[in-house]
Amino acid sequence: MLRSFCHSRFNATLALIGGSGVQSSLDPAGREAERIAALFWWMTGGTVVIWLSMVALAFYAIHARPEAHTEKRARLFIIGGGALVPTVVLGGLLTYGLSMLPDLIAKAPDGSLRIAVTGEQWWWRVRYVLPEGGEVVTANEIRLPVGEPVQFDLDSPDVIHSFWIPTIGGKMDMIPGRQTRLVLHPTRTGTFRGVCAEYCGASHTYMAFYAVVMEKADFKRWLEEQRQPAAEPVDPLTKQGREHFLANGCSACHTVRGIGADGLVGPDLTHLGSRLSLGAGFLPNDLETLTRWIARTNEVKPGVHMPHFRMLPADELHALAAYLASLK
Amino acid sequence: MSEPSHHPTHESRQSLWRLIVSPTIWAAHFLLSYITAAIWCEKVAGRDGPLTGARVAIAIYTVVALVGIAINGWGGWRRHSYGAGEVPHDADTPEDRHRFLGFATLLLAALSAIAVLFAALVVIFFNDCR
Amino acid sequence: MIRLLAKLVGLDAGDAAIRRGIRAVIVFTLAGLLLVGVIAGALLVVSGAIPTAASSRHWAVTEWFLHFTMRRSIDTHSLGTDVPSLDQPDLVLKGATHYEIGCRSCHGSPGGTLPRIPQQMTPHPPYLPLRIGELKPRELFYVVKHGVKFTGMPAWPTQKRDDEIWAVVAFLQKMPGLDEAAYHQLVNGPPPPTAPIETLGGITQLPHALTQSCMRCHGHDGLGRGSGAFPKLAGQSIGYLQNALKAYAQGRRHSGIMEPLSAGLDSAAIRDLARHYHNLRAPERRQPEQQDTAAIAEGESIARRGIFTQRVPSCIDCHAPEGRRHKPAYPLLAGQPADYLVLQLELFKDGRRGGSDYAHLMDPIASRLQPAQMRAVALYFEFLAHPSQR
Ligand code: HEC
Ligand code: HEC
Ligand code: HEC
Ligand code: HEC
Ligand SMILES: [Cu+2]
Repeated sequence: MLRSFCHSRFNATLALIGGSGVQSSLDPAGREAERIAALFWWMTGGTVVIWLSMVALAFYAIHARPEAHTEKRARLFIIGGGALVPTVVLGGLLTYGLSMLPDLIAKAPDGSLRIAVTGEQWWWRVRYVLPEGGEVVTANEIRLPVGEPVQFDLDSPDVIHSFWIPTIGGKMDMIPGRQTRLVLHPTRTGTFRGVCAEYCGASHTYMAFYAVVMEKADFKRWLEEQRQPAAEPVDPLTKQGREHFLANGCSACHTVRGIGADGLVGPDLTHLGSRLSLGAGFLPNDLETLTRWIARTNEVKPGVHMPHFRMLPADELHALAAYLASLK
Repeated sequence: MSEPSHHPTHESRQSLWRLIVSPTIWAAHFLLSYITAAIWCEKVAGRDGPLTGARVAIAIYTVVALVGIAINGWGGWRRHSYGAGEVPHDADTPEDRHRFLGFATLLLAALSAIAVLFAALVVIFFNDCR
Repeated sequence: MIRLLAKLVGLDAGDAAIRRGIRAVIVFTLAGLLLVGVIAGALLVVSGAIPTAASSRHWAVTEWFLHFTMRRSIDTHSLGTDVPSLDQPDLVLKGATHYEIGCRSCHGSPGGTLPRIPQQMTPHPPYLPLRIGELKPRELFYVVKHGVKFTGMPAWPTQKRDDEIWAVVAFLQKMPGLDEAAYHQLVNGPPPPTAPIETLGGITQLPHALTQSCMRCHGHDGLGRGSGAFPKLAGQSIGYLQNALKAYAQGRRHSGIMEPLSAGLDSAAIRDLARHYHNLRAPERRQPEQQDTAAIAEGESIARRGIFTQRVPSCIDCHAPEGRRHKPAYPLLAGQPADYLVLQLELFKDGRRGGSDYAHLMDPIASRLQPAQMRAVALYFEFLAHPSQR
């Protein structure tokens, strides 16, 4: 269900950035996004009021007779309208904005879910730090329980990235050598898109992800599934794929828990087959794309830090893709 | 023309410098506040630590800055009201120049005071280093 | 000038018309001479009368002029070359073995006579053992790297391997001090054992001349004469050996030493050689020196776990998988001399190594390693037991 949703939305999303509910800060699905949207509407309203009054004043100024006002009153009006009103309006806006901030960057209450996200050129390393201890590692996709605060601990090993799920909340920079924090409260279920909002190199545009807000029980089940080691291959093709995965040294960079693949350079692939997208939120996750990704990595994603495996024979590529797709 | 050096509006007693005193105080207040907060959070309180010490310091800076700006602005007001001139003080006379500079000083002082308050507003809402 | 001429032939130099006439005569005479010269030259060339016979040699003046030009050119062009430290036995050995194969036939060797055939070239190669003292290292480097136009002196087969050229220069520096016996000892190594070489899969039948040629450097046992100058081939995986030889032969892996040697091999020979070296007994594990243990421990950590902060993957997943199917295209590094491994990593880092279709896997890995880390991981592999001996 989700998968087909993703596929049909895939192109539409790219075309309609900010338009549809998948990636729009004006159709909020989180407390922070709601506040930001409220701020936006207030500001828009205020701007309209100010603009209308200015236009009205201009009209009045054109038609009014100079004698109608004493010079003293005109001067008072200039001081009032030109200095006092802007000061008060700006002061009000600043106060309102500042008063929102502490909440937006406050720690989540103790015992809430924490997710450590590392932005790397050009993908997302995701670690769920469970309140009861232990952690679950995945990549390029974030799932959240609805109605609960979630704290994101953000950082980056290379350049500045920015973590942003417009529908759920504001964005926060990921800065090398420093941990930043963002707390989000998703308010309704659905599949939304997150992006990197800070130019970070060749494939910045291809650095996105899906954020799925689920019912609490569904989320628990999903997390439990993600915690499990990789599924045992059942048919000869996927068995072969696993052997190729190890023999080709994919395991030097990728972790697949349970088969002795413990590489940390690239995304964890233990449950790759269960993800909505491939290559950080921009490709459909199907067999054909998977094969193309492995064989022509650098063509699919310019500058990518994974070497291509074009030199492998077709049957080997096929088996590799089949194996990875089977890792639900 | 009377003897220049004894005239109350002569430039030497009227240096343009007094015009930029308030904006300079504003700049100093801004820099000091930032640097204090940065050093406090990095060296004293730590990333998640409370901002208390820095807040007190910034409150003191703010009071000092506002007093300085008020004195400067008061001086401006006095020069602005010198003799019997009306705004916009645009006559080509030493007296009007005197008044004009005073008036500009006064306006800049007002602007600087607002800016100092805006900068100080931040620590009213934030109480930790995050 | 024209006035002078007019006076000489007794005409009135003051008359402008006469001066104009004289100028015209001069111009036409010169143009005519030029035309005649060009036509005569063309006729001379077309008629085939000019001797290009090497046997006719150069006139003394031509020879002086050409050599003078060459000396000046070499001196000027090699200015500013940084000369690395050359007094290293491995470097000398690598250079010497190549000299024997690639240079001796033209330039002669200590104690030997001047090769007869190249002596008939014009200009003919000098007897180098006696010439070396007159050339600076940087000049030798320049000549060996670029060759000399209009002489038979070839350029180095690839422009990407200055390190190999310096090896030759290192040897050339030593050559004048060698007598015939020392030279032979250096380029041939110890004589091969009379008993058959022990292999794991039985002795493969190979043309004697072939193994003979490889032996000079890689040793009769495939262990590289115990020197860091040469990789060990014994026990290496067949797929990798084949890939390497093919890559050299096609110029995709760069080496002025191995490219010419591989270019002559047909695919059957490559297959047989690969099988031969694969079947030779792999290097014994050696005990490291005490002072290396710290570096080896660091190297082991890099090899097994990579360096996460630098995003360097572990090496063993590709190079020494334990208890897993080993990819034939991935070389085994166990027992390989650390110097050789470091050299290859540096080449990868600078984009100068090339290699098989799999070689691009190594480029980003090597470029993320610091020099000390390269040395550490190389030492770890040098003292690691080969899989066949674990
Ligand atoms: C040198 C390290 C390295 C090696 C070796 C490597 N990869 Fe990758 N891989 C990466 C990196 C880094 C990424 C993330 C790229 C990006 O999205 O920008 C990646 C991404 C992937 C993805 C997409 C993951 C996702 O979440 O969408 C797949 C699938 C994949 N690799 C499969 C393989 C296979 C199969 C092999 C072996 C044939 C392999 N990789 C070998 C580093 C490596
Ligand atoms: C095909 C024959 C040939 C081969 C092979 C050859 N050379 Fe030469 N070399 C020449 C000739 C011809 C000259 C130019 C002689 C001249 O005109 O001075 C020359 C010149 C030189 C010179 C300059 C000598 C001088 O007097 O300045 C050096 C040094 C040299 N060669 C080194 C080498 C080395 C080292 C190799 C092996 C890598 C090598 N040559 C291979 C033919 C050869
Ligand atoms: C003049 C010395 C010399 C001779 C002779 C020689 N080699 Fe090499 N060989 C080398 C050197 C030096 C290297 C390393 C080259 C490099 O840096 O790329 C090498 C590399 C190789 C490699 C790649 C090894 C690796 O681990 O990547 C193979 C395979 C090889 N030689 C096979 C042969 C065979 C087969 C022959 C005989 C036909 C032969 N060599 C003759 C010096 C020699
Ligand atoms: C994804 C697989 C992979 C990983 C991981 C890997 N290598 Fe390699 N390496 C290769 C391949 C493939 C080659 C052979 C290239 C060729 O065919 O030219 C190679 C070649 C080499 C060579 C040259 C060997 C020779 O004989 O010339 C060295 C040295 C080397 N690797 C060192 C390392 C080190 C050190 C690491 C770990 C930091 C490492 N490699 C990690 C695949 C890998
Ligand atoms: Cu980016």
